[in-house]
Amino acid sequence: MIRSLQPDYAELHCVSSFSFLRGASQPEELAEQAARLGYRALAITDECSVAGVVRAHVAARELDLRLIVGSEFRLTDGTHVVVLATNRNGYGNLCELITRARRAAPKGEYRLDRSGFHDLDDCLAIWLPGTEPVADQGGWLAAVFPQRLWIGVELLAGPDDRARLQLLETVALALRLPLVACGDVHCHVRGRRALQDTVTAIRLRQTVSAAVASLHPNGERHLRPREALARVYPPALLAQSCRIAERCHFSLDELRYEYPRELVPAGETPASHLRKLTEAGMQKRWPDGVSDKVRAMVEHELELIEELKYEQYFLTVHEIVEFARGRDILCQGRGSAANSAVCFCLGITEVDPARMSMLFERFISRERNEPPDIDVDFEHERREEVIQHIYDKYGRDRAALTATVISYRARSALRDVGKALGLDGLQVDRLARAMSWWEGGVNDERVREAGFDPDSPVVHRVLTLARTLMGFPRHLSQHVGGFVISRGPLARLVPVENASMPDRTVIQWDKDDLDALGLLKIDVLGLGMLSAIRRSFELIEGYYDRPLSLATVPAEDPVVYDMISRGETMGVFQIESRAQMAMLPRLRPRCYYDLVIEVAIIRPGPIQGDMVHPYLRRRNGEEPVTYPSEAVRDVLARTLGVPIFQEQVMHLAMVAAGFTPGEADQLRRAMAAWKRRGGLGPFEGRLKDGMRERGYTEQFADQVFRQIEGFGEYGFPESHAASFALLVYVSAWLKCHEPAVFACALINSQPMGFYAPSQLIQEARRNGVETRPVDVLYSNHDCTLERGEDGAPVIRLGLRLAKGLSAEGIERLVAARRQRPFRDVPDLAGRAGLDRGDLEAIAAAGALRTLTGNRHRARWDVAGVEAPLPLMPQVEIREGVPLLRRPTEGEDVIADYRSTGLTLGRHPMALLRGQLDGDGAVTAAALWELPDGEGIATAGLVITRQRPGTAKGVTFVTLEDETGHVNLIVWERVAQQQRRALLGSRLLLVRGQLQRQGDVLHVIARSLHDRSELLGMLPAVSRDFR
Amino acid sequence: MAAPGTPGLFPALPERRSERAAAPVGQPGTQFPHRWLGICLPQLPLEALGGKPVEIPRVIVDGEDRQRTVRAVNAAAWRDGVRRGQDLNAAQALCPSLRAEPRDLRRENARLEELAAWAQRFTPWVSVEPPASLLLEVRTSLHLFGGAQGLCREAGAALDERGHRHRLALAPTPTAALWLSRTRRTVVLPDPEQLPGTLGRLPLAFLGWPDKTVSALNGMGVYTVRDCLRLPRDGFARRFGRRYLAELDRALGRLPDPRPSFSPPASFEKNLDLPAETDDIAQLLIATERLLESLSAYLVARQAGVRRITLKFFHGDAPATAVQVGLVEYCQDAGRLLALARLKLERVVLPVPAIAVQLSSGSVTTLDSPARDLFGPTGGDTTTLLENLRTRLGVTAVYGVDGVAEHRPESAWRQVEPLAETGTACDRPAERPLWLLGQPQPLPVRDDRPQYDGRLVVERGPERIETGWWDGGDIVRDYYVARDRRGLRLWIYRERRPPHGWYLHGYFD
Repeated sequence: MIRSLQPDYAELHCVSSFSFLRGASQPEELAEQAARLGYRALAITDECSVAGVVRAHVAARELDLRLIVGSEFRLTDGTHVVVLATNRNGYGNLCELITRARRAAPKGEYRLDRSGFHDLDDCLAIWLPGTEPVADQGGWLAAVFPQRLWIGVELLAGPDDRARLQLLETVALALRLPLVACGDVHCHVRGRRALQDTVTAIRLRQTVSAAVASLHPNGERHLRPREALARVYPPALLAQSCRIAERCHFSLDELRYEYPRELVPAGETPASHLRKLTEAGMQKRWPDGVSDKVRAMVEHELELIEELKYEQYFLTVHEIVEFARGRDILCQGRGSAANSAVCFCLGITEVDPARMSMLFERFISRERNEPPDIDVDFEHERREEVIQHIYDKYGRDRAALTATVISYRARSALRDVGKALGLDGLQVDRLARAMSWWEGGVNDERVREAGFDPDSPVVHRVLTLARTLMGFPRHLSQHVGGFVISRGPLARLVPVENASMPDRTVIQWDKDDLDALGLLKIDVLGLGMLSAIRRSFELIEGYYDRPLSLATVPAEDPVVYDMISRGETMGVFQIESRAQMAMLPRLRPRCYYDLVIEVAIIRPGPIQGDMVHPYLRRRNGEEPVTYPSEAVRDVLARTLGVPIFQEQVMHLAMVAAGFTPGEADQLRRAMAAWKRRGGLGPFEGRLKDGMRERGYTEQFADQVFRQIEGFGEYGFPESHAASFALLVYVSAWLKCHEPAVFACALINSQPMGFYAPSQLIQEARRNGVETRPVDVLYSNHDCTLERGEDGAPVIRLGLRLAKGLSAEGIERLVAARRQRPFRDVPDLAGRAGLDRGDLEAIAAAGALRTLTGNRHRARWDVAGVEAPLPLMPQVEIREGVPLLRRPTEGEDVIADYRSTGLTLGRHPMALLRGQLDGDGAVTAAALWELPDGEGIATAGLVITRQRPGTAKGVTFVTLEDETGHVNLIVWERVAQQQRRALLGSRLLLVRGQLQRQGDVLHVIARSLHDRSELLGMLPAVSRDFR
Repeated sequence: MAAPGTPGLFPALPERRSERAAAPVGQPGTQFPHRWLGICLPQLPLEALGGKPVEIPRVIVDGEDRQRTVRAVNAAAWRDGVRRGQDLNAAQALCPSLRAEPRDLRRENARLEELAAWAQRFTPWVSVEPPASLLLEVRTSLHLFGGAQGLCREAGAALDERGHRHRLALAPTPTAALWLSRTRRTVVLPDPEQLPGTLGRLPLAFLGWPDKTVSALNGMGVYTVRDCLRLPRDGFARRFGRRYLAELDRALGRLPDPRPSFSPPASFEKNLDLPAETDDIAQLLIATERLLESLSAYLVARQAGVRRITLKFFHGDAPATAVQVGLVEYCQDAGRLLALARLKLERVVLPVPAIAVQLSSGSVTTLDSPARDLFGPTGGDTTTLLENLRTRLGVTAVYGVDGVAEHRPESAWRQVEPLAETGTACDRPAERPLWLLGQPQPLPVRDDRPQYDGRLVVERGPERIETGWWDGGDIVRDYYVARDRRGLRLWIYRERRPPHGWYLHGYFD
């Protein structure tokens, strides 16, 4: 027999990084290497998983490599076998097998015995016998896979490969089974040997040197060059691998999504049913008749939907939204779906197409051949009801959540590699901390700063391996709300496994995988503001007996816009951050569409990207508004000639450069990724040529192209902004007209938004809202509204604010109080069944002020409550009255903050003001009286410290004092020099320069001084000094 | 603060003004018979781990994994803002180059006991008060050191010399001395009358009570001992436990406060004068035997054993000759000890005749039971043989061998104590030579083939071993089994890294 120097070969046993902490190469790396070596095919056979196959598939498709989908299993009896799918049916069978094994074990594990190994038609199998082959295993497998079973021969330069081959030949003869060469591949190149050892140790939670018995003796388990294989394997065994590969002609491209069928009533087609629902929706949305423009849009959309057969998708989302409506759960579609008039008619979105310039192609396009993506926001606290509904309606075998692949990042990689290489916990912490201190990435300088020598061998190994490990998947988790719903059993499309949450199941693919295969998902998301808005409506109805809904909030109220233009937007959806508040007085929105623009451009990207200014200058009349042509005017007029939205760029490409809608959408996608992938490539030429042909100047073409490039990363869809702007307006209206209601609802919806209850309450009080403290005699779980003396609502803080108080305790307390008022602390403790922790939490919150007195006394009384003895009447304990001091004002303020996070008393800074006079510290309010450029000193409690990735080297600090907030900008040099004060201070004194531009005020910090020790003096500050 | 008459309070304490004027409660002489010096060592966790207080910021931490709290801070770390009680994460944010080491309570205790033994130079009555304090009863020693100030000065200087940061307090009750020693400055309080006033001002944080109790009291506005004493006794006891009430009473001398006296860890030492100057081995052995018998009695009484004894022979002017005898396992049997001593002594040549013998034991360890093995004495003869071999050849020359689950041949075995449990890790399929060379031996190469006394015939291979990168001992080799002209089976390998030499690594037969 002539041995070819480079025989044909297909690798049929290869695990990737998706056999977590086993495979030491990414699926893409394996595909690339297999193609480079001229393999005929590559099977990705991750252990009881197909989580990595989509990535491999995408890479292989580009490389023109045949990819085989398979999986490796180790049965409970030790049988080791690889199963390969030959066609779509075999693939479905494989997915079901994986699902059976995964569902029978806790998250991340699988369990499979012989009884689970059935229904595997159209699958091939390779048996991998152990050191001592067990004939019974081979015999059993041969029965499960008649004429479809091989014995895998893996010659890996072990102690005696020749003997091994002879042994397997004997077994093959005895069982009448053919042999095939396999590689037990764990990585794409030999050089990954160290990483493979390391991940093995991480998996075993040992150090590498302790795990040495479990490590491979050499690095042969990689994709070996074919000439090397030729030296090791008989030619027949190599040829056999290609014959097997020939039989596996399944491709993931064959997967087609099938939408649920049951939503179409008998006698209807999906198209006719969708049309009916849309018509009915139109009637409801426009009772007085529909404009021709809208009618035309709807017709255009329905036509495209029918052509692309997406009706069932719309029907599915419609059903979910209808369910939520029926339960009074506020919801609203976001994202590109708001470009669809059909979605508006179906009640999925709320943006009136008559008010917007829509671009349906942004949502669905013929050329893209990609399913539409509808994301719907629900009240964040009630999203679970929607999820349970989906499970109930479609069953667990047809609905599951998308996976999220949790991958190694710099810090976690360092931590795990460091431990595996024997650094102790403290060293690992120190190293990981150094790495993540300011930015991601592994950096020698930081290593040195942390006291390690980057050139020492151990540190060098840790760093090198950690760098490689970064980006490797670690485990699968569940996506927040991406649902996949199918017509038939989902497990024939993709394996389903258990999630960590009970009663949740996830598929093995993440959203990028679904995208790549064109599969549909529905994002069921939670949005805190929707909860707050519904609560506001309920509070208004309860207090005024006046129902209110998203639709009936009075539109375009100038008073609301006045408030927004003053930048008083704390708590308002989307425009409440510091940067946004600072921009509002310059933008001065006057109508809904101004808010749409606001949502899109008042974000870190555009603000950093200098995008705001051209628009702002034009809006303020500092720059003329010009258009190069009438066609362009149509596109850009609503944003004063400056492209702000993705839709506008697409439109621009269409009208100015002659792009088709589909091409324009491709341009949008390229824009979003061009920085990552490098260059807009072919689009540049097409765009400029197209514009030149249409008579635009070279200069204009260049300018448009630069604008597109510049804004690519943070381009925002108009449709999305439009959906969010609705919520901006509603929340602003509530804040403006019902500040008590709004603050109450926001606090009751915590955690959400930028601001803590303390700031929300202070803001409400600034707006004249009266607030009453937490009190066991009056407070409910949530904050409530009480009737004030003048009839205006007053906020009564809820017991939920009392830190450490259990929800069950609150429930029993409120129920017991409803029966009859509490007599004293033992009565409260006994009837509400409160344990010591709850009682102490109540005392700490100052909630016993009416029942027993100040905190000192309350704590004493609470500490004296005896645990009730069963069968014994509550014994009345008589004891002496303690001599306890009254808390000072400072003590009360501290205790308020500690327990409820806010105080209704004076601000701590007001109490310490006298101490700061010597430093010449000016209050936040007084800063406004000073001129731009003035050198000043100011002090306050540190509220936030942010170091946004977008702002190079700058730390933003917000200080709070009794008069308001001061925004600090700390440049990197100052931050480095005064790190201790910057990071360690709770009360910070800063000297610097006042920078004031119109209504925006900053202090550029020059020196920082930690004055936290003043807080220690607070307890001594007494009311008597007031 | 004017209080209505409340029943059950602590007996009212004299207010500060009237401290002097008020008559003392009882006779101080009878009520306070002692004077206690409290020594607090705030940096003991650092000092116990050794290392100079150089300019590297260092802390000792308590707790596990993510919940690490700073327990002690050196000067360099202090300058960066690191403080005791901080979360380690916070501390490292302040000081990125911070070295954190876990606390070692055993070493702290050992150091504390060492200091206790040392402190017995001031008074025989020393009490160890973990975690970081000592109490010395010094009433009778005060005059030796020129009074309280003198004593404090002397003790302080001595502690400085030994590298210990310290705080001192002298008080009439041990609890008070302990509490006061935790404050920042030296307190000398020889006068019992001042006790209530001084203690009254003490913040509760210095009492060493659990954080939970202290913060509960602080939460009621009770910050000092005086605030505590104002509370109703029954109410206080019911809420916080009798234990702390009793502690207050003890501190104030209202309850007796006995403290155990420290006794240093036991070890045996005994001298025996020889009847006459001699270098006769028989004479020396008789003396040794007598000493060993009393050691044996001492050990039996304590159910203890030793693994090392030292015999010292004194020669008048010349320096003493020391002979050490080590054992494989703990032993209390005089006969066996004597047998070993005899073997040693037979090889010792005394420079001059000896006049006295001293026997001292190493550390004495309590034995679980007289016999280690449930099924009778441990292979009596083997043990004895081993000890005899070791005594003659040296301890390191006799060892056992065990397999290690490692792919690298060099690392696949290790030395163990003779008779140690072995064989747990040796279930590898690969055949390995019985004789492995300590150093692989380079083989000459002719026509690209390795030679060993002529041509070699390869029987098996290659077996590729490439591993060990993690400790810098990475090997990359192809191993072969080869037979030489005489039929000897050899284990040879080819280095896969340049210059690709051939080596002999072992013999199979």
